[in-house]
Amino acid sequence: MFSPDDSPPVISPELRHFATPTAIGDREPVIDELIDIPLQTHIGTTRMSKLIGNKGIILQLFYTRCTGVCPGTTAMLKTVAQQLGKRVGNDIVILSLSLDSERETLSDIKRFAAMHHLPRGWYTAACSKRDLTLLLKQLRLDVKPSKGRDGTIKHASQIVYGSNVSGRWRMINAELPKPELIRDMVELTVDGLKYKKRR
Amino acid sequence: MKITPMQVGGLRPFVDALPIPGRLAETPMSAIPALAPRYFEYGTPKCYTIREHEAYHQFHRDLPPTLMWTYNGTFPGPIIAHRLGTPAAFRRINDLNPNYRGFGIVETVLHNHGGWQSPDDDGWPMDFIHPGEERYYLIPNQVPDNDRSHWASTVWYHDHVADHTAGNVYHGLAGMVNQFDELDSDNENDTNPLALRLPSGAFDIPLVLGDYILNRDGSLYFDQMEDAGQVGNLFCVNGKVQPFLNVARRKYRFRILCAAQARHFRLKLSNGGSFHVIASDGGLLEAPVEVTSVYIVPGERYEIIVDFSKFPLGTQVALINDVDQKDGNKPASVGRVAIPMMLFVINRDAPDPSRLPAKLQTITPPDLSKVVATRTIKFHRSKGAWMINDRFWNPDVPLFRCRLGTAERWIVTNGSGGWDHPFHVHVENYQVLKRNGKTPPVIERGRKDIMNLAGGDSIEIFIQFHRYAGRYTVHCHNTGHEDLAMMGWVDVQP
Repeated sequence: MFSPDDSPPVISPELRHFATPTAIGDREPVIDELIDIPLQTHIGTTRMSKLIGNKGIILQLFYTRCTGVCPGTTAMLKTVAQQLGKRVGNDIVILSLSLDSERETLSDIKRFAAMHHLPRGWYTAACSKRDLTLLLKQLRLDVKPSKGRDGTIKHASQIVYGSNVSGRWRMINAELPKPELIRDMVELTVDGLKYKKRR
Repeated sequence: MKITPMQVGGLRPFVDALPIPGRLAETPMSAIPALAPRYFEYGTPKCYTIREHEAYHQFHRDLPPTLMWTYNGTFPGPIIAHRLGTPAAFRRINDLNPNYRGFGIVETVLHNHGGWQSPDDDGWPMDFIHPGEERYYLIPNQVPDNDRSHWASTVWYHDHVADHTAGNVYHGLAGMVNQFDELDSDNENDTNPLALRLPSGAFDIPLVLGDYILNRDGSLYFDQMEDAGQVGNLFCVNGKVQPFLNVARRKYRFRILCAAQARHFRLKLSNGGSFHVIASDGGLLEAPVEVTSVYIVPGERYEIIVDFSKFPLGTQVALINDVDQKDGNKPASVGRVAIPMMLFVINRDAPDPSRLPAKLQTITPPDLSKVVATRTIKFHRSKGAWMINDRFWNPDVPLFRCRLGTAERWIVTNGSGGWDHPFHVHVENYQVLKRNGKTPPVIERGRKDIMNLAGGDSIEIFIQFHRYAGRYTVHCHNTGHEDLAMMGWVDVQP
């Protein structure tokens, strides 16, 4: 790098109003590790940090009763889970977290898990409304649902994926056309160096 | 005592000199492994080495150093100077820290933005290499169809890995490319009658605009969950917060690149003075255009000539940005703020053999008889994410297929009033036929590879597929949008 001259100038009077120091200010903390909230999963209580451990995570935010986007997202994630095979549970966990902690009960969560024959390493869970609010704030997600003309619940269908170990987080729309792409993106983000390209 | 942003309470502008990246030195061919025959297709190439590695950079003298990802140790990276007609082979080594923790990803892609090269050498978003790996690229430095009109332009190189481009470019993986030819010859004393003799050497200066946020410890602040694209509060030129540049009373050529993630700039001189726009993304305009401001969006380039000879010695002129932007979506206002980007201090006299010719070149007009198809490309938001033609990024399925050797008319629209989308096409430049049904402003009539689409905007472009079959990436150059799947590709078939 070449710097022609390092001596700062004395600012001329007519430009002094431009010479106001740049305000720096505070910002919202950015995501590093997923917030460590208590979870009620379909197989018992735990905390987010314990559930993830040193694995990667795919986080689905859903409603058990949703007849709009969620069934499609769940079906797509099932394909992703099949493609990941034994990695689910060993390297990557999938967490389907209810967005309706006030109405959805533990039995709803369990019924959903049973209905979809979720493999080992895929959890359905709920948390308190307060904790859900904290998590959504951390993820910068606005998932307020609305009812469509046909009565179905409509809401954003983002999947968040990443790793507490790498500190890397991304999100992707669950309606991406190919589960293989989601698998690739998740593995790339979660695994980094370990990821091997498929050609 | 460690100085943190909150302790200093702000940063004084105009205290650091504008850094000017040096030119990338040639690597002797004997110093790199033997090149495959394809690298000699256009003649013996000049060889260069680019090594991606971590290095410390200081954004401002009152800030602690920031660990960046760099090309060859500097931020921005070194200037790559090409001469059209002389091919170049690049050896790129990924030497980033494989144990890095945080935003971005150390698996990287190198994109030669605005260059005319095979899609295989362009930087396909899935063609990443891991730390410890290397990859080679051929930049032909040829001119499409041997078109006699001038094609040299200001290009830039930056990371382009799928899903993480915003974070990786923000980490520092960006640099300028200056192309030269017989007309724009990099020599203001050139005796060749064809040479334009534009300001050259120390008077041909890149201005890489960016906006950043730092944490208290000097590390980069980056919100991985910000889907609108992040805007920063530290306004930087060539990686320095609001620097100053001592200039002589003569003409200067500034190559302006908006390397921000989402921020737009409208640049003006603080005294309201005029300057001349001479080039846009794809090279020189037909003639200099005298303006008092130039509007630039992420990925876009404009080149201007500022003649400081009209100012008395001792004059100071700030380059200001009057776009107020509070988030990545779009500007909140234009013309109501005056944010200083840098300061010019006219401190000496100097001879000026350079010229600002009344005529720069003749741009071959679009040959509409070659158009074989008209297509619509719609940028929009749906399902809580960014889409092109109702699709998300899918590296396996193209948006559509085109035929090599043909030309097409694309009508590119932004359906929403809520967001701007800088529209970018890889490999080929395009020419704008209409903007919102009207002839585009004169500075948008050159060859382009970025055009901003404000809400409701529609542009009609002419694009020609001259030589290279393959995957042409198309995307929004708000890299926050791009990473959230506002990207597609066109399959150009032989």
